[in-house]
Amino acid sequence: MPAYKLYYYFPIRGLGELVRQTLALAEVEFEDVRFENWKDFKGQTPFGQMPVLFVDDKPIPQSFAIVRYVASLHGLAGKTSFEAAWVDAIGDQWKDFQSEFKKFLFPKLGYGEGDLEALKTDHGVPARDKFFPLIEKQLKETDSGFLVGSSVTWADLLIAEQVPQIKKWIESRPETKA
Amino acid sequence: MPEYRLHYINMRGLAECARQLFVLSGTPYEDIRHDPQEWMGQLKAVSAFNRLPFLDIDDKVLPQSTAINRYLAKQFGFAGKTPFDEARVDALADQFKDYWADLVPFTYAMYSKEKDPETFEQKKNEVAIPARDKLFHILEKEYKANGSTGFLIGDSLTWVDLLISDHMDVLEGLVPGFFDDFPGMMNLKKTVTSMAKLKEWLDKRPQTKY
Repeated sequence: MPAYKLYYYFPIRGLGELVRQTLALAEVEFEDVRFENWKDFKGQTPFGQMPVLFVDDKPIPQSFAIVRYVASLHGLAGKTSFEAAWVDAIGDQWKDFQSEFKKFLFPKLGYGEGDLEALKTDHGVPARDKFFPLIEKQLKETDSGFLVGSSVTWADLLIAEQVPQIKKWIESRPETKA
Repeated sequence: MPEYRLHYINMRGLAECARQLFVLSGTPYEDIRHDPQEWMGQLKAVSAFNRLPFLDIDDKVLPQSTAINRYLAKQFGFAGKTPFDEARVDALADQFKDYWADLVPFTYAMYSKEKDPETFEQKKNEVAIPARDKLFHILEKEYKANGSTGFLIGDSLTWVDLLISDHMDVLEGLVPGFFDDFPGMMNLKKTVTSMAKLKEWLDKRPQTKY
């Protein structure tokens, strides 16, 4: 069994959390390294970014590449190559969603400036309304409780981690007619 | 043999890597190029994720270009020789995707280059050059670390080699010499584009700027 070591930054969950959850679900032991001053360790990473997963000291950068690698080896990436491709497609669609949604989310979480109401209207709501109907449709089609096929994949972990965030701000936002 | 239909518009864009994978593997496919108006009107409603490109394999659809590229690469043997190499190919492709997202303001200016050359110049300097330097520094490092195989990962072509080469060709068409400072990648492009089956495709494919 290879030795796994994960590098990520403290104190956010972010995409490091997706990697941790995948490793946990696969029941793979790993060293969970969280840096306070991650930029001091940039030189140890292939692309100057985190997360990085070291597999017997050989690095894999990029969260989705890491997750797909672990998931594929442990039956968490779909049962066929076509299902695996659909898991990838959902991940990519989430990335498209996130590139728009984060213009609202990051300032809302305190990382960045801006008029939160305007950002929510201009970016948060449209991004949500473009993406989550696709997720709903997918769940209806599989009818298994999972996004792809009949068992859990890393796409489920990715989306499930996002939903509480959305749920929370929906519950905490002021009552409005529309 | 499955029946493949690749749906996109008349551009290289997000579908060219998939097209090149079909060509290199000698796999027949239907190269469907929709009219954008027709797409907006009719097809959007019925395709998965309402987006182009999508791949139809015996009437089962797969959206998202990166997922399509990886799926075809795996089917045809261009994804990497080991799970670890596959992960490294994926990581480079993801890094390219991040770069592509950084380029968005420049990409808009690129499509209107004729109408507004000043904005094109401005975005080239403010957006494209820094983004290029960040990614291609990484690519040069990976290429060098891979020894003299001529490819980015392992000792044979993978789909990320195709992604990078065609992108370089598009940008060089708009800004000659744009990648001259990156000799490894210039070499990669030369290696990739001189592969016999691909060269044939490059000569006969519909000629589009991007």
